[in-house]
Amino acid sequence: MPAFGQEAIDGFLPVKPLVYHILLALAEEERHGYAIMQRVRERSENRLRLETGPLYRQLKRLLDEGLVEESEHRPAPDRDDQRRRYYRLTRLGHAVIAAETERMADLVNHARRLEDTQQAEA
Amino acid sequence: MNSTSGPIYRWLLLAYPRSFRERFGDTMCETFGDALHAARQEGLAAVGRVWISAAVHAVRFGAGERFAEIKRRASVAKDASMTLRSLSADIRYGIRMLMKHRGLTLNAVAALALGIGLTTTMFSIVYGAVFRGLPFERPDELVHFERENLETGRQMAVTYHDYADWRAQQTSFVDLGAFVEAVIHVKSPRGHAERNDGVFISHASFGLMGARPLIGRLFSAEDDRPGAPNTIVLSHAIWQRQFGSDSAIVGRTLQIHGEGTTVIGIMARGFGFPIAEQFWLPLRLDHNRVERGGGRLDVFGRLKPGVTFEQAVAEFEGIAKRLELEYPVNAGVRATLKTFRDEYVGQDFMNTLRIMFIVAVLVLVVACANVANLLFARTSRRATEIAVRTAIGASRARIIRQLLTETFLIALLGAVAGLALANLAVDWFQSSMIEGGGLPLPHGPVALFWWDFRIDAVPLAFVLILTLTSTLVAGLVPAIKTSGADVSGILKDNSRGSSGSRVGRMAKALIISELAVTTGVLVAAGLTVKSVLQTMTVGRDLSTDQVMTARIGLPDRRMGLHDANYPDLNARFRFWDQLVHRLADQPGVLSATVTTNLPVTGSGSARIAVEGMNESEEDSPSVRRVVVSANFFETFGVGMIQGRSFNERDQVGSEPVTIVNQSFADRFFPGTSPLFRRIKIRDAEGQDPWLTVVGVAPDLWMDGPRNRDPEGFYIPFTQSLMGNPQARLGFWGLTFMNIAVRVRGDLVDAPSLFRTTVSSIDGDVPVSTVRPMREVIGQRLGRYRVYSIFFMACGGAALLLALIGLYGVLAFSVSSRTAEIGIRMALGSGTSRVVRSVVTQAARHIVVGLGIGTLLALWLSRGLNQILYQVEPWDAGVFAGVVALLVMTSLIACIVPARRAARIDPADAVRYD
Repeated sequence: MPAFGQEAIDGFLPVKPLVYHILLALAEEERHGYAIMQRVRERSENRLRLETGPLYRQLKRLLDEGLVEESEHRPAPDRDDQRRRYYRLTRLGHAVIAAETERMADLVNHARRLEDTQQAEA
Repeated sequence: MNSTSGPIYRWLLLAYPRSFRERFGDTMCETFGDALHAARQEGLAAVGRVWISAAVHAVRFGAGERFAEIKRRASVAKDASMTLRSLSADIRYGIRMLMKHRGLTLNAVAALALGIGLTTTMFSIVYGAVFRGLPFERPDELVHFERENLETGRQMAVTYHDYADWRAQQTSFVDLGAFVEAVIHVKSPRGHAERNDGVFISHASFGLMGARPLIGRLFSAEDDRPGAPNTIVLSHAIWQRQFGSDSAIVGRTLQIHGEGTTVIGIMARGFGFPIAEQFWLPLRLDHNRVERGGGRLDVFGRLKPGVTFEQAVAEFEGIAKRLELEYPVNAGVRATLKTFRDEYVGQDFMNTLRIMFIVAVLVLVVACANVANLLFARTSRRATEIAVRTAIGASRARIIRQLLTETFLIALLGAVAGLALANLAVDWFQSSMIEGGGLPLPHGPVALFWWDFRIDAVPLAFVLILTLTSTLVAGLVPAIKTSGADVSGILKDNSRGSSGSRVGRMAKALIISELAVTTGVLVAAGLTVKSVLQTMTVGRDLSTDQVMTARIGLPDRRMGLHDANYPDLNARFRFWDQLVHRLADQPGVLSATVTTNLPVTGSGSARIAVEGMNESEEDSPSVRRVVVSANFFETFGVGMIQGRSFNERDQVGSEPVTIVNQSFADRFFPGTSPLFRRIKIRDAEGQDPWLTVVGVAPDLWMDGPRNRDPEGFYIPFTQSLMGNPQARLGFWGLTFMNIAVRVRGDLVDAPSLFRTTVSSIDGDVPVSTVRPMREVIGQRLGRYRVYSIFFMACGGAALLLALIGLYGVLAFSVSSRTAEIGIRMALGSGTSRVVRSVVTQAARHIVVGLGIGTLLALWLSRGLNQILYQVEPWDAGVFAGVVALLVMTSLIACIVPARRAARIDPADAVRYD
């Protein structure tokens, strides 16, 4: 990801769990607001219930920070309400979620190694 | 999102900064709608959760966003930023407090939700019915005319000649228009004749109202000319429903009353002048062909700019006097002028709405009193915390603001829940009042075309005002009282967090006001409940289960219909005679009858003479008169009290007979048998024969559900054309008749039974209003039943709130006396004495509250007369019952906390904090 300096990406880390869920939902595909809420709820197995107000507050921040952008994509007008807006990740957004995933994976790996060593010592 | 949740959510969004709202408002509404839709599948709890979290987030994040925005605008004065910062802190602190005291929050929110919900419902209804405005240009200039007979005080329609003279002589109005309400028979594409509401209307009328067609044109002077080609204008609704919004319909020909009629225009959407019309036909008046005094018109006009209503009234007084001098027919006749709204909405309905609105506001007052009490109890417990904050420098204003913020949050949650409640209630109003026939309107229980009951901008603004008012009413007194407490006193003596005397005054005011208001509301509820119980007796003597009815009208020239097939009474008579016989022969029909009036729906009247009693001309009492065919009483399962029922042998050639009802017999033949006595209809020509009484029937509510003048008699249909048919049948006799059949088994097939039988005689006669007899009676009683549901809801809410409120007040004031009670107990006072002392102390306030409440109830109940069925507004039983119920409620609210206090170990009580 050459377009952004590592520094620019690191500035966003760590990503809050709720934000991570939103970014993840958008990494899968472009979605409108309610679809994001549904996806987050599904993926967290009902543990995270994102409501309309908080969702848009986060979306605003993500839009302002350039991690998310509005998509021009629209389903056929007869299938969809014209007021609905769709969102997708920007390249920066993709970079941030990748970096965060890597960071968490590192943490997990570290923790597993620690566990293994402890088991070996025991 | 449905029509109401959208505006409510938009209203919540106002909490967010404008920039945020503009950017995300629409899409948030959309998303919220989806979430709400999904929640509805999960049930009521999920819907509640979605709304509550939306309200909480609106306040929390909305304030947060605003704060963030302020921070971004560095140029904003630091003071403002400080205020906002502290406001935002207040809100966050408030939310924490509400979450901490969940029981209290829930209680207070529920109370305000009830109060705000009921008040909003009534406001939306009043606003929709009265203030949303008529869909005319400058509606206040529209004036409706009737005529009044000064001698009898009776209101009469306007005659053709008076209309023509008024129009020629008046100068106050731009012009006068006229119309006649009618039933329009339209042949549907399927070939059935269908009945629709419509009017014959003068061409100038549309111009006066400012009505515009959507497609085509409205009437011109040419359409009004007698003999012009037939033309018709369709309403937007009927155009959509029956003609599939096909604009090519304009110019086509429909079969109206069996004649080809050209559609010339479609009216603009939502226009149904004067009531809720679907068709307009030209009014072809030719007053030269009618005698003076003939014809019945509704007349209205538009005041010229600058002319007042009073000036117009004065001018018409003069015109009427001139006509009186010229024509004997006009002796004692005056014009009565009313604004259009007064004529169609009417004072009865306005009064009923006003009382309902007041009752709803009273429930809100009780709710606010409850919340005030809950908050006061809590802030008193927080007196120490507040004193500490004051001691370290918080200003009194700052503390009041903190407390008010908390109250506002409660009120806001209450408003959201209340709106949801109001939404349901307004829907209920729409369906049960309007469709259930509950409207006491001057022109019958039909919803007026401009009515629109919705919770939109204005009702929402009203809710906002209610929310703020409730905040102030419920929050200000506790906030001021607590914040003004003696700081050092409280800090020195922790155990006296609340001083007895302050609680006392507050408690006194609450007990008195809650009881007074609850008495008023409960009496209103009690009266309407009693009235509903009374209505259950209506129709008691009738067996209605298997009876289906239909109202059928034959074309009649007097209504402007082409009546070629029914030129005279004999032709009409033959139609009904044939119909009732054919119906009786159908399989599954046990008995069939034709009548001018069904039981409980009212009837015509006639002046009568009783042989050997009152044969002088002056003394001729007016009684109820109904024409029925032979099987009338059998069809309704009514047995004769004495004598016989009508039968096929009662014919034109045989002895003229009648059946009288029980009240008639009691009044005119007290103590003797009425059988074979004779009565006579007094008609102008004196040609009606003496009628021999052959039977006595039960009363059967011949004067309608109220049945104020129950005495009446029946004439056999087979003899209806004897003597003076006009006097026997009334004006519309043999034009509109009612059919009733008693069937074996199900009523489901009855409508098609009526239709096929009628069209086997004449395919152009439409059958309308096919209803089970049970429903016919139910609709007559609708106005009494539907209102009682509203008043019972208010009464129940008020009683529940009062019970919680009184218990809360008394429990709190007793608990603040726990130490004192402990000392008394330690000194040997028994439980009963302690309880007695608590009860005696409260008793005085209870009596004052009930006294004020009784006065309030008397004032309220006077306005209920219109919707009470055989219950006087000052019914002693209801008043006594309500007072007894409230005395009991208050005693429970006193005794329970008192006993609890008395059970505490004195040693603990003295240490009680």
